[in-house]
Amino acid sequence: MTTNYTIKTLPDLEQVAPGRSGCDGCGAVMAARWISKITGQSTIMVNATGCMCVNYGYAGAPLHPYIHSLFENTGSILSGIDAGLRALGKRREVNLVGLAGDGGTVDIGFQSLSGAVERQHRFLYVCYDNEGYMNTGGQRSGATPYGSNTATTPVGSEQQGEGLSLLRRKNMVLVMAAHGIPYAATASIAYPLDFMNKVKKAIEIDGPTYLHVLAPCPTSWGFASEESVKIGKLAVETRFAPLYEVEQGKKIVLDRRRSKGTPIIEYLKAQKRFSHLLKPENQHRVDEIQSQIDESWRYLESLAQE
Amino acid sequence: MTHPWYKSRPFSAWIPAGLSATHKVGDRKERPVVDEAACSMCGLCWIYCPEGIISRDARIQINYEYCRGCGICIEECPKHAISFEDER
Ligand SMILES: Cc1ncc(C[n+]2csc(CCOP(=O)(O)OP(=O)(O)O)c2C)c(N)n1
Ligand code: SF4
Ligand code: SF4
Ligand code: SF4
Repeated sequence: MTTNYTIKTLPDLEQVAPGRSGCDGCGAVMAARWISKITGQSTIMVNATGCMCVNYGYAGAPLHPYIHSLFENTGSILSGIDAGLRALGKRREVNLVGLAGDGGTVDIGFQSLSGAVERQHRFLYVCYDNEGYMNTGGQRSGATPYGSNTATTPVGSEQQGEGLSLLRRKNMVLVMAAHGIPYAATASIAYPLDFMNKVKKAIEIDGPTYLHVLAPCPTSWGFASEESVKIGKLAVETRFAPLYEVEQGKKIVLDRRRSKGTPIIEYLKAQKRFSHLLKPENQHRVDEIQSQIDESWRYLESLAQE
Repeated sequence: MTHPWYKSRPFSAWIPAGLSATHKVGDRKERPVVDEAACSMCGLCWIYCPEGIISRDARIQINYEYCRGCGICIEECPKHAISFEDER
């Protein structure tokens, strides 16, 4: 049993240089910095195309080895590095981390990731979920939530944002857990210690591990830069993005304390991407979202029962 | 800068680790200023700052060369010890 970090005991040393590009108040870059803080100097990070690659990797912010992968092959590159390190007898010395957005994970990088975990390679894969292809202007992805106004799910006479129910949205953590991997969990950038302790737990495991961290995006979700943490908290409190861990594909631990069940309208009304839902004629859609969330929560609770 | 790999892999791109520090991105309308008397050294601003440019040695210090004025440190400080001052 290892002890968890507290804010006091977190390493002071930064593994990331300042001066990245990208937007003010970006949630994804917080997650990137925190991963490296925990994985330290001997990290090799493989990062798919997306905001973190373009604004952070290309800028030269990481201070440890870092490779830009394509959308499709993050899992393959992780596999190759893991095999190479083993051949060199250096596997124990290195923390191998994959980082990709939701587009690069839920959609395009899915098959190589699935293959890599099936082969039982050792790495931590972190998906920072900003719920769309944000680096190219905010197109929908398989992680975009119901009702969200994106560049490819606009609001008009035919459609009121994304149309796929939250109940049918890919649940990447449960999908990864279904591979039987030792550890998969959700997180939110609003809870840095929770996230960093999950990173720590994951990198100590000799096998594939997966973290899905909600990373609010001021630019594409439509809120002020100082509100990223507030939005991340609301997502958890409203049960829109509950926190849970799945061990060995079976044992589910659900954080009921943080997800107290604040009405979803509090979350929706704080972001421009949902502003059309506040019109009286869309009240039934808000009710739908609430019932989709309630049903997802009941499902998670049923899985979490011993 | 020439990397030793460059000759054998002329089509690879290589970026020196930490190159971003040469980009002094601290361009903002207002600057966050810490009131040391009110600060409890809880470290929340240090951990939340997306730029990672707050240090927490003996006191909380913000590196203004890189601070973008996003306001997250102000919003998340439980002691309301940070506030914006106009840049002139
Ligand atoms: C195969 C391929 N298609 C399209 C692109 C263009 N592209 C670059 S970044 C990006 C968006 C990435 O979205 P996501 O993975 O969700 O990460 P985010 O930008 O949200 O951080 C796209 C479509 C590309 N680089 N490669
Ligand atoms: S578009 Fe969103 S995810 Fe990308 S850099 Fe800006 S805030 Fe971050
Ligand atoms: S305003 Fe933003 S960038 Fe500047 S110190 Fe505060 S959190 Fe960091
Ligand atoms: S968040 Fe506020 S109280 Fe805490 S260390 Fe920063 S300035 Fe001090």
